[in-house]
Amino acid sequence: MPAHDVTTTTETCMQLTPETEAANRYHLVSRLADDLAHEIKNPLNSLVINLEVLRSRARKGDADGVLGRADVLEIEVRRLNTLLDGLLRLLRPDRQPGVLISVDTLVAEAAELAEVQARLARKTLSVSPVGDAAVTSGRRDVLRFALLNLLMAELDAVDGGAARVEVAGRIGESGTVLTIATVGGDPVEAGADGVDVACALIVANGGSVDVTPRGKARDRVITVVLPGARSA
Amino acid sequence: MINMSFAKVLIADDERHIAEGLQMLLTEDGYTVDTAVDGKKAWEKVQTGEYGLVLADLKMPKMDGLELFAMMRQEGLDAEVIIITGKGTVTSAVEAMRNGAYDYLTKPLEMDRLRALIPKALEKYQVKTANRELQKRLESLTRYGDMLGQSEEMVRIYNIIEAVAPSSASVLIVGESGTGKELVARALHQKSGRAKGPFVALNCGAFPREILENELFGHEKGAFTGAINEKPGAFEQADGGTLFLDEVAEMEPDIQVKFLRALEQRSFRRLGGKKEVSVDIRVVAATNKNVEAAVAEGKLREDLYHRLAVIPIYLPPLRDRGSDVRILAEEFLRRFSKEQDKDIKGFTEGAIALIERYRWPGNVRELKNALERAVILSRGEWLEPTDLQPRNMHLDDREAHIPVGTSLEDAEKIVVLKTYAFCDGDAKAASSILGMTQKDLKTRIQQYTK
Repeated sequence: MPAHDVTTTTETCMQLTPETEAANRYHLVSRLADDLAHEIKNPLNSLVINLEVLRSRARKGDADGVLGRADVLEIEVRRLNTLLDGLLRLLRPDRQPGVLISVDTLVAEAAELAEVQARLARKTLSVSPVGDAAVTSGRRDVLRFALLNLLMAELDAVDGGAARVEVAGRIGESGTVLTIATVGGDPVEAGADGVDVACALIVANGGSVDVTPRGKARDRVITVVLPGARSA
Repeated sequence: MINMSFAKVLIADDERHIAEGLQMLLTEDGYTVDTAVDGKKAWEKVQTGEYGLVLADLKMPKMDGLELFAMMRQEGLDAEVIIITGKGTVTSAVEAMRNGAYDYLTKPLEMDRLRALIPKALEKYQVKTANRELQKRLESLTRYGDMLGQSEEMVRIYNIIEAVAPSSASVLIVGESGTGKELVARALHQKSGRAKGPFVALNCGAFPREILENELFGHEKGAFTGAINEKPGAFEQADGGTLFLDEVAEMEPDIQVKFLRALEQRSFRRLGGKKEVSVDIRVVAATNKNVEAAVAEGKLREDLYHRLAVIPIYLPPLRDRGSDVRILAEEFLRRFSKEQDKDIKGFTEGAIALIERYRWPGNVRELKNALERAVILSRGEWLEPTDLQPRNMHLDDREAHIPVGTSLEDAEKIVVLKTYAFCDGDAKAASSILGMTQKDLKTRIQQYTK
C-alpha cells in the first residue's frame, strides 16, 4: 500500500451537528430498509413455497419429506431473523457505551447490512478479519454506523460486473488500521456525505479517516484508524 | 387442454430453496420442471428450445430476469416468461409485460395464482409454436393443395387459406384469368369442415341469363316448356359443402338480386317452385374483373359485393410470382412428358430464359398450355426456345409493371431502369425519352444500381 498521510482527511473533516448526523442516519436506514425489504421477500417466498411442499408431503405420509422441508423452513426463519436483526441493530442505541469492542465484530455487523446492497447491485463485498487482538472503545452503535457509511460509500463508488470492495486490517502503532478498497469494476461519481459523516464520527472517537484518492477514481482506498487497539 | 408431456417449465432463481420447492410442487402438478441458479445458466438452457415457460426471478446474479427475457425475445425464443419480483421492482416487471412477458408475480408467491397462470401460459406457447411450425411448413412448401409455388406472394395466399378455411365466411377471390382461382376455392373447401361435403363449381359467365338462373336454383317439373323433371340447382347440390361461383361479376342484375337473397337467407325457391328450400353452404366467388370498378359502374351490386367479399383474396399474376414460374414449368414438363410418354430431360438455358422473361398474360393456364404444346411438338431430349413457339410470346420490354402500392420513388426507379434497358444502355436515347439530362440519368442509374 502506498504511504500516505492519514491525517489529511481527519484535519479537514466536517464539524458534525446532531441534525446532520440524524439526517445521515435516516437516509442510510431508509436506503437499507428498502434493500432489506426486497431481500426479506426471498426467505418469505421460500417459506410460503416450502410450507406448501411440507403440507403435500404430510398428506402423502412422507415423513422424511416432511422433515426435509421442516429443516428448510428453519433455515429460512433464521435467515429472516438475521436480516431483521441487522436492521434493528442499526436503529437501536448502544446501552453500554465505553466498553471494549472487537473490531472484527463491528466490521461484521456493518458488512452484514452492506452485503444486502452489494448483492442486489451485483457487486462483491469481502472482509478479512483482523483478529481477536483488534479492539477499540467508544459507542458501538456510532462506530458501526460510521463503518457502514464507509462501506456503502465504497460500494457506490464502483460499478460493473467485476466490482469488488475489500476490507482488511492490521494492528498498528496508534490502533487498528482498517482499509476499505474498491477493486476492479469502473469508478463512478458518488456522493461524499457518507464519508464525511463517518469521518466526523470516527475523529470524535479519537480515530482518523483518509481517502486516497478522493472523488471518482480507480482502486480508491479508505484508511480508518480506530484507537485503543490492544486488548488487555 | 395442456399436453403435459410437452409442458416443460424452467425455474430461474438463485434462491436454491425457492427453486427446489417450486420444482417439487410443479412436478407434483404434472409438469416437467428444470431449474437454473442464475440468468446465465437459464439462458444456456432456454436456448435448447425445450421450454414452454420460464419462471424468472427479477434479481439474479450474472444476468437478471429482465435481461434473460430480452435475450430470449432478441433470439426469437418463443417460451413464455413470468417474472417473479419483490414489490420494489414491480415497475420493471410491468415494463417487461409491455414488452411481451406473459405476467409477473410478486413475492411471496400466491401458489393458487401461479397454478392458474402456468397452464394458460403454456397454452399460449403451444398455440404460438403451432402457428410458427405451420408458417415454417408453408414457407418450405412448393405444393399446397393442388397449387404449386413457394413465392412470398403464394405463401401469403396459403396462410390466408389456412386461416380462413375453417370459418363459413364468404370468400371473394380476385385474380387475372388463369391464376388458379378455382384451385384456391378447392383448397378452401378441402381445408374446411365441409371437406366431406360436395364442392360444386359454376361459371356464371358461361351461361345466358335464363340458363344461369336454372343452373343456380334448379326447377320444378313443368316450370317451363321442356321441364319434364324436377332438377336441383347448384345451391342444392352444394348443400353441406361449398359452392364456387366463377366470373360472378358477369351475373345479370336481376339474378344478382335473387342470388343475394339466397346468400343472406340461405334459402331460395326453385324456378316454378312454391316452397323455400334451405341449404347449408359456403359460397366462394371469383372474378377476374376489377371489382371496385364493376361496383362503380353498376355491373356488380354493392350489397352483393360486400356480402361476397367478407374475406377477399387477391391472387397474384404469374409475372409477380418470381421463381414460381420455373417450378411450375418444370412440374408441367414432368406431367406432360409422362402423359405423352416422352423422355424429355428438361429445358435448355435459352428455353428457361424465355420462360422466365416472358410476362405470361394468360398466367398459369397459358404456361400450362405452352408446355403441353411444347412437349407434344418436341423431338429432342431437351426443350428448346423454338419448342415454346416464341412467335406467340412477346417479351414486353416496353412495359413496366408498377403495382398499386408502389411508392413514387420506386415507380420512378422502375421506369428509369426499364427505359434505360429498352434503349440498350443508350443514355442519350433514354434521357430523351424520359425528358431528363444525360447527367441526371447517369446519376440516377448509379444511385439505383449501387
